[in-house]
Amino acid sequence: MSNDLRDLFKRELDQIPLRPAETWVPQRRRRGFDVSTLAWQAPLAIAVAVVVVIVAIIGGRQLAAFRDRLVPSSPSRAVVARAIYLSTSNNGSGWIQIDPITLNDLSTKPLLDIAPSSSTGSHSTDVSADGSTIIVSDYSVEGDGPMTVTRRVFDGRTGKLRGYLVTEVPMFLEYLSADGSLGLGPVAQNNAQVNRPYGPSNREMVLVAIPEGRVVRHLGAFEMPGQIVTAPVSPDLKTRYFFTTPPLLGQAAEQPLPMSLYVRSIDDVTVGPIALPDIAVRTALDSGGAPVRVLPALALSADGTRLAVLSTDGRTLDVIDTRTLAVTTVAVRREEASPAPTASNDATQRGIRFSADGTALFTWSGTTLRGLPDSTGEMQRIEVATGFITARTSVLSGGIWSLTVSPDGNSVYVITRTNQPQGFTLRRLTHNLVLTTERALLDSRDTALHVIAAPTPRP
Amino acid sequence: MIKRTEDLDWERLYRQVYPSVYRALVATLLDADLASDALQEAFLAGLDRPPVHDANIAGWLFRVAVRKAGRARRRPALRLDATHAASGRDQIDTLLDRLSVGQLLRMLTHRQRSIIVAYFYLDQTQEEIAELLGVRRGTVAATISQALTRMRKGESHVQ
Repeated sequence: MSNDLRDLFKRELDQIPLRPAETWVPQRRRRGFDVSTLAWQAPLAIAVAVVVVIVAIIGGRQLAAFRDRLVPSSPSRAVVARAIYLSTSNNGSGWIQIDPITLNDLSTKPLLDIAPSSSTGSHSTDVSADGSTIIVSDYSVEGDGPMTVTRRVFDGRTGKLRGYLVTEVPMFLEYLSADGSLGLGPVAQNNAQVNRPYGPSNREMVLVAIPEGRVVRHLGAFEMPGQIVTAPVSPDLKTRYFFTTPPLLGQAAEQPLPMSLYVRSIDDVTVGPIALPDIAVRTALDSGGAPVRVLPALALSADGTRLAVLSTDGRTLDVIDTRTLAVTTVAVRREEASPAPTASNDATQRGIRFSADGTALFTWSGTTLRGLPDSTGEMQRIEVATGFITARTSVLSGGIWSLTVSPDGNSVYVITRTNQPQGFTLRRLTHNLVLTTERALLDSRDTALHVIAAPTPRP
Repeated sequence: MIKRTEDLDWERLYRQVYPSVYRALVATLLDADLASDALQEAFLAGLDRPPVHDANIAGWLFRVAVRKAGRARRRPALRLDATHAASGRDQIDTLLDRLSVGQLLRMLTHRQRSIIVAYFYLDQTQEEIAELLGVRRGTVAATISQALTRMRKGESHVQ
């Protein structure tokens, strides 16, 4: 019946006459105005703008003074505005709060007052990129019964419980939008699977509103040529970027597998493949004869407009404009235009992060293709436009465990991990990688330890 | 006028889908002038803030135009070309009266019409309509079902 009706609608409504094509687009366009038409309006508009700015400044100061009188030296406010947060567990308890400049411990009042959970269940904590939303998920199984998940949604600025996230369909919450309003993850077949990490996949997913749990959109499963290597998601969760390689051919060692990009929108439209020149996944056999892979490092800018992919030898940087999907390839080199590579090894697992303004990348190295540790703690700053390495540091002993850039771009927080003696160290560097402060942290080798929020310090 | 490249891209996409979206709007709003104005407003809205993806431009334009039309309906307008508008409206009214689809659509509420037209004419899925209108998929399915029932029974909606 639907198809009959569709045919009928198309057959009949297509008879509605169209207007002349020159009338389809309006004559007036809001973008790009003609200054000459504003001959008398411009001075008036400027005067009004000046008055508004003055009123806003005066009003803002009075409001700030009023607010300060209301909450004099409130500890939670001081913590929220000024601290960086370190998660030492997955269950939302035991967070450390650190002054972003001095790195002194401010944890007199935990942001989330959550008691450590029982050890029988598992937990996960997700924090939105803007720090506004924290979701703590507790998974538990009673006897042989199905797994239950309780997801609590907290305000990331006040630590107050905002509600419980109960999704319309069982799902694994894999991504949180930058503003904390949406969640994305694969559909679970039953409650027992809501805790199963799936990794990058082309299976059916759902986009849900937070904290209501309403399904905003079903994203259908789809066929993807090759093997999915990684699949970052845009900050608004509306675009997925699938990086794929051809399947591994047998056990042949040292296979360079060229990487391609497919872009999938929430409208279930796929664009691609987009070839990435000189970027390949490197493979080899480990000591046990099993194939191992070293992936190119990948980062998405905070505003989601650029994707950066750094080759495993650190010499080639591909930058993808996510709006046009144009790929720009630059050679990574020292500022004096030396052709020297950035590292001696040809296949090193690296990490990269965009600077706050998206003009530079911070890179660091991890392990090599042959499993050799390359944890020299060396970091580099690469200018995206030119590929020049404009700053380097090798003063960080130990492997880099976590790296976070503050929103104002002035601070780079690095956690390094050492085995002899075992422990973690938090360091603050400036945007050009000058070490300013460091602080030893408690040994949390069995738990996650990441800088999960690093707000801009107040002046 | 010198046009920016992205403006040209947006205009190209807009012109590609204009015929189907315009006709869908006429069928929904039952007013060719209102449909034309609303679609132009949607075009301007796209110039200011283009949709993130161009995959469902038709759906996006349809939704924005329907909303713009809703606001325009609440805003009494003094039309300088009232005579021309009246004759155009008569022409469309006559056509819709002649078409069986037009007669069916007149039985529905404005909301039902917009969903039915999006579904059967613009080929939007129920999920897409739900996303466009900010409602649940179940609401879309229920509205389609109610509208079909009403059309089958020939119950006229009292406007």
